[in-house]
Amino acid sequence: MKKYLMISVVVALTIAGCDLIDGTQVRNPDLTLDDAINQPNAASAWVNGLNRRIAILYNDFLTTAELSTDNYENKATFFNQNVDGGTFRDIDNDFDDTQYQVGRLREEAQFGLAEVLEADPDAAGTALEAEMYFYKGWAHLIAGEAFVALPAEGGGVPQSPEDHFQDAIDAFTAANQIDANISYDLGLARAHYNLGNQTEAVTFARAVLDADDEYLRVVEYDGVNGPANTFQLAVYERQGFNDLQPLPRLDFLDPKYGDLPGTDQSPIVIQSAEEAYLIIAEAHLADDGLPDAQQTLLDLKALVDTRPTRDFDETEEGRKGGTTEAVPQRPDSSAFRVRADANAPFIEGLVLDRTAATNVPTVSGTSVTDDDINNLANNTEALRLLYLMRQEIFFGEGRRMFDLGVKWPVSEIEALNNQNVEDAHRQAFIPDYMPEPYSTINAFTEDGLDVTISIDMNRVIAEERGNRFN
Amino acid sequence: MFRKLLLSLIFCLAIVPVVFAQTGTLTGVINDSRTGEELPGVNVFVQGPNLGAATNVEGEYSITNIPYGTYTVRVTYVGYSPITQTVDINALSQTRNFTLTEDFVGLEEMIVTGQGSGVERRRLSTNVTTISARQMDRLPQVQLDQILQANISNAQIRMSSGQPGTASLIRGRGINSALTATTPVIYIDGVRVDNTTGQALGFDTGGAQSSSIADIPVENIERIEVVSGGAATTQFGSDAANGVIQIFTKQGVEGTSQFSFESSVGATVGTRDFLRFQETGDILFEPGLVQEYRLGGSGGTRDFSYSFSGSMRGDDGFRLRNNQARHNLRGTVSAAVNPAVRYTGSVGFASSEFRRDENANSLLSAYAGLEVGDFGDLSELSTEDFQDLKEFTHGYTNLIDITEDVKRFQTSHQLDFNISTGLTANTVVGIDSRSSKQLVVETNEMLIARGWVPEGTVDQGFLGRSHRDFLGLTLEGGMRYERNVGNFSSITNVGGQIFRNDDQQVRLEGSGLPDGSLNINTSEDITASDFRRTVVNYGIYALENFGYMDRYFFELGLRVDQNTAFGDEVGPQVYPKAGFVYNINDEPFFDGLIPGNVVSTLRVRSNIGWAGNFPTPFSNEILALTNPFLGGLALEFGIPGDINLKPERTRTIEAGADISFLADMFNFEITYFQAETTDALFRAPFARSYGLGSALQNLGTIENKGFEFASNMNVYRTRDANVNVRASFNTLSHKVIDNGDSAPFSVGGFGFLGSYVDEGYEVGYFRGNKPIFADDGSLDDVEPNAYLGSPVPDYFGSISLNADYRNFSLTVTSDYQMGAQGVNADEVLRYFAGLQDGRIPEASSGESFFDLAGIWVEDTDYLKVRLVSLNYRVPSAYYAGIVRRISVGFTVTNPFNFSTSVFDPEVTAISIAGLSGENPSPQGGVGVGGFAFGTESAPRHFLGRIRIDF
Repeated sequence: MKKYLMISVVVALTIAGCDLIDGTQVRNPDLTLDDAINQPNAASAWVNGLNRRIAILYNDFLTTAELSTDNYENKATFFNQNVDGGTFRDIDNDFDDTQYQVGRLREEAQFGLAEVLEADPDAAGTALEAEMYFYKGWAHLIAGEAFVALPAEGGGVPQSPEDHFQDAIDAFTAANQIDANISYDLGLARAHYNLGNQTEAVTFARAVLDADDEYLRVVEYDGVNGPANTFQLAVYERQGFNDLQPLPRLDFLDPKYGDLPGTDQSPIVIQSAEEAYLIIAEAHLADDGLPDAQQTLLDLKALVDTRPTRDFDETEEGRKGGTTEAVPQRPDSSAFRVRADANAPFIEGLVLDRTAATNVPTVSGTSVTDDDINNLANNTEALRLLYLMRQEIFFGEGRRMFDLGVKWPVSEIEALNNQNVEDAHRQAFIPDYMPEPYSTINAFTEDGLDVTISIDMNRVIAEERGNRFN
Repeated sequence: MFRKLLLSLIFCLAIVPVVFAQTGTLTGVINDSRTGEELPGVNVFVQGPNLGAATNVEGEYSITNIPYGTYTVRVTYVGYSPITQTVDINALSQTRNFTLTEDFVGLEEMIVTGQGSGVERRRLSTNVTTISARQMDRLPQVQLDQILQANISNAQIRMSSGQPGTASLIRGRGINSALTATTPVIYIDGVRVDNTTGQALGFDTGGAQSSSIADIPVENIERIEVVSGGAATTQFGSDAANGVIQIFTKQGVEGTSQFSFESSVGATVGTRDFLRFQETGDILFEPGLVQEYRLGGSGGTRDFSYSFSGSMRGDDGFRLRNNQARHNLRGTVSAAVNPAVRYTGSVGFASSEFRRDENANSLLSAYAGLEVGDFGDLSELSTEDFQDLKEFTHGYTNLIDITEDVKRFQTSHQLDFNISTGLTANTVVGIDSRSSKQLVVETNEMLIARGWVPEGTVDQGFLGRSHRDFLGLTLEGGMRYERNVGNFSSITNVGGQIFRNDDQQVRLEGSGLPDGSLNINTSEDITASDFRRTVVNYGIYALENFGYMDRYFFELGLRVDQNTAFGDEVGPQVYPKAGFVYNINDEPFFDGLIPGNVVSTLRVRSNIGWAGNFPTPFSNEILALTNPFLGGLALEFGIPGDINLKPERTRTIEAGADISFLADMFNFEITYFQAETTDALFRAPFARSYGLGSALQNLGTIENKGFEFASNMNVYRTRDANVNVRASFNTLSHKVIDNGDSAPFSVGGFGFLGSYVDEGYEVGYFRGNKPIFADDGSLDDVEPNAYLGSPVPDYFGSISLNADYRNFSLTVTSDYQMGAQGVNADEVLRYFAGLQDGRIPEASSGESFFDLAGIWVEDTDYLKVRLVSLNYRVPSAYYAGIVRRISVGFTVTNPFNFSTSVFDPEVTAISIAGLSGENPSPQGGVGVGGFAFGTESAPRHFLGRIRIDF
């Protein structure tokens, strides 16, 4: 009996003592989503998360978007090498990444509006809520500008660019109603421009210029904690390894992004007063008001001339790619003259001396002179020049795809996980007026120091696509 | 409650009452039957009173306190056939000598792994590989993976890099998981140790990943057991689908203390076989001095024994910035607390300090830069340009400062209880503590030398520190009950086990430093990040090995497991096993049918068993993503989580036969296995429109199956000479048979050509665009996302030779693979540099490398001779006194490589542990290898060795 008593005591003590050495408890150092949004000032941190997310979106979007156009050509890098040739496949990882980031920005903004504001009610009705709407609208804007179609909600039916622009308008309107802001006006101007709504686009564009005719909104990067600016890495930091080369007539604009002092990263301009001028000028042309358009473009030119420039040393990158007979050496000095096509005049100064540090604009720049504007003879020429200014001013901002009218397809991964995606959604859209082969948009020939771009895409879209408001 | 019961069980085992026995004496000497050599460490065990002893260095044993009576005595020694005899203890002292014969079949060997306690191999239906101290003594012992490579027939050990601190990709029966590395779990003296490759917050230095396997203490090993998974690992539950490696250290033997001293000196030389430009070797490679010193000792009495070994190794490296130093120490003591209780404690310490250059995907990588054409075709450089390039490369490379310091402490404490006849118990408690510190310094001087910043720059320096502390705790207890009734025999093991792994990491980065400071506080900007991953696994098991007529054996087993990484809705997991063995040659009729000296062993075996892999810790919760951003906290969606997350389960069906001819001179094993992993953990993406990061989900089914042929042929055997050849041939058919309707997802590689997981293909198969050329060489068409090959071979195996002649012994090891592919990423960069090797038709030389991707995939069949070692035992006539033995030897490692690929098929700069793709952490992830990119091959070592035993 004593033996059993002894065993019972030992077993009881053993069980009781387990807690002293209990090694089965683990603690996750990370916050659960529920705990996170119930922290004080959660809405503020959530909006900062949206600031971070849009930076990542541009990292995934911008390089491929620029390579998809005549702005840049990929000579030798691990960045996308298919889009230069117009090969826009649904399996493309870069399209997929961009769709993921667009979806994530929208869903995080929506979660902020639906859940975070509920947990942090003091933020409702403030600028924080307005910013959540802004980012939701921005996700719709990029979805509409870059893709043939995309779902507007998780697993949803892919909707047309027009529907996305309308969703963007709804979101920017909601933002403005909560906290009126130039950024939201400019977002509305752009979304209406995209839809061809002239009156609304001009109204909001004028509102922007009335409020601040030098307005800028940028996506910021964090050089210390990340993310860093991927496009800066592509066009500058890795020098010869990541060899993205601009079309020679745009050489003077590269690199728009480069090292800032210390570890700061170049921001990416996503909204500027320049856009308001461009919208108003195009509206004047739509109304056959060439003189008014000229004056608007002169005002725009004056603004562009005030924007900052910076010296960048890109001598190691150089201008490689002279591998064909037509291009023995990519233009790399101010001795080269460039013309937009075989019928255009040669222009000097478009190519910078790549043997020394170069001075380039960091917000906007243009090769267009006051004389070019004053000498415009007709609407078509004016529209070609307007498209040229849009290309130069928005260089490196991912805007050119929309002007060219090309659109990426819905990705394979979305399609495999979303039965609402149809085969048609998985096909890219390339307008008939784009040249065959597509890579012609990046082609040029050299005759000594004279460079001729094979095709002036601004003339093509001015003639073929025409005025957005007509 | 489950865990409380488990803890109670373990503690009850620790306090079981003990029973005392009486006295008697049996003594004797044990010799090798072929050479006559005395054998130390042989176990002699008297059944009944359960008394035993081990032979001392003179081969002598003595067992006292044996009650008078008639008993069965069993003599066992690793690598020798056991002897069972009857003795009458009827006098005060009795002598019985034994002569042991080398055993090439090993059926009498005691196997512990997967059994709970030692069970004879002949009773087991599973395939277990053992490596004895004698096998290891023939070869240099530096890293565990190198020891395994030389001795394992059915696993691949692929050397991924020549850089210090890295380790091999260890792969047994294919790839069971699309989540975790194929590395088996590793135990030392019953204690689970860190086997992680990669480090979440580590500096990857361009692709070379530090591995915990590289510094597992390998001192003083008595025996290693390796099991490949399946029923043999059911005992380990949710942790062992990739198999188990168990290391047992020496405990010392009774008798006069003996010591040994060993010294090795030689050179390490860069392997040039796969260089694109020999000039790369001329610039970077410099033979380095290698020296190693080892001192060991052992001894003891019947009640107390000890064994220790310590070593120092210095390796100056085969190239610039590539040196390392190792210090190892291991001691084990074993003491009889009383006649029924024995304590064994083992303590190991390992220190590894090394310096490494930048690799592969780093612009500072000198090797990659030279090889991929950053400086043009090196073979066409003028003498002057070559000298300039050499000075430039040395100039900045000698300023690269990447160091790592690893300190590892591992200890195990075991109590064995001899409770009563047939009933024993044991408990083990132990820890593995590993601390690693990486330091990366980029000085202004180096950046100036590289030409990245102007002369005079003083504020662009960088300092990075990454610290990782791993603490693993193991607590285990088990009871064994053995009994024989008539023709029936039974061994029952029950027990429980808990292990807890705690992994904490911190990374600090400072930028804008002036030169000379190694203090992060001197930086203009400092960033910090931390990481913590904790997991606890606890379970109980019951295993039964049942024999009939001593030739039919049945195995049954069950493990019930819980783990903190399971989702909240997931309860304890149950892993069963069953097996059957039939030792046909023990049938009375067998000798009549086939004479025993023609077919000496014939047995068939089959089994079925389940084992698992637990999910990545903390993947079961819905988390927020938190980051500092522009001076404030940024909150976003984190891991989506899954409350139903459970382990992936691998069911293995195994069937095989062992057959030996001519008195065990020719031995063959054949095993067929089919392993199916269900609920495979996939990190597959959701529809992008949900905006959610990929989450770990139990989605897939993966199948691995194949045949394993192994042979061990004693082709020549006399008293003076012995030649043994071992060869293996393994087939492997491996693919994902169901992807759970998920989209294909990447587990590594590059954007243009990645390692993917998708239904119908191997885990990590190469996916990219496949070019189709027209007759004129122009690009006619492209097959998008084509299957381009697989890094997993269809066939692999090894061939080794052990030959002894009088005092000479020669060992040669080699291994091979066929049917795998690899990606020549170096050649992609040479294509960019205009130095392509002609594989791309001229008419397509301007095409996108995305569309040409398939052209860089090459077949990677290879045969590599890993090691040639010649030893000579100096005749005793040349020494006297306290010296017992002197032997000298010479070893060459990695002497010959034959490969169908122009690159080294083993090296890989990425995808050892899932550096890219959807895997958010480069730690411990699935890694299939196969991307050759700016990475040096393992170097050659030429080492002379002298060993003196006292």
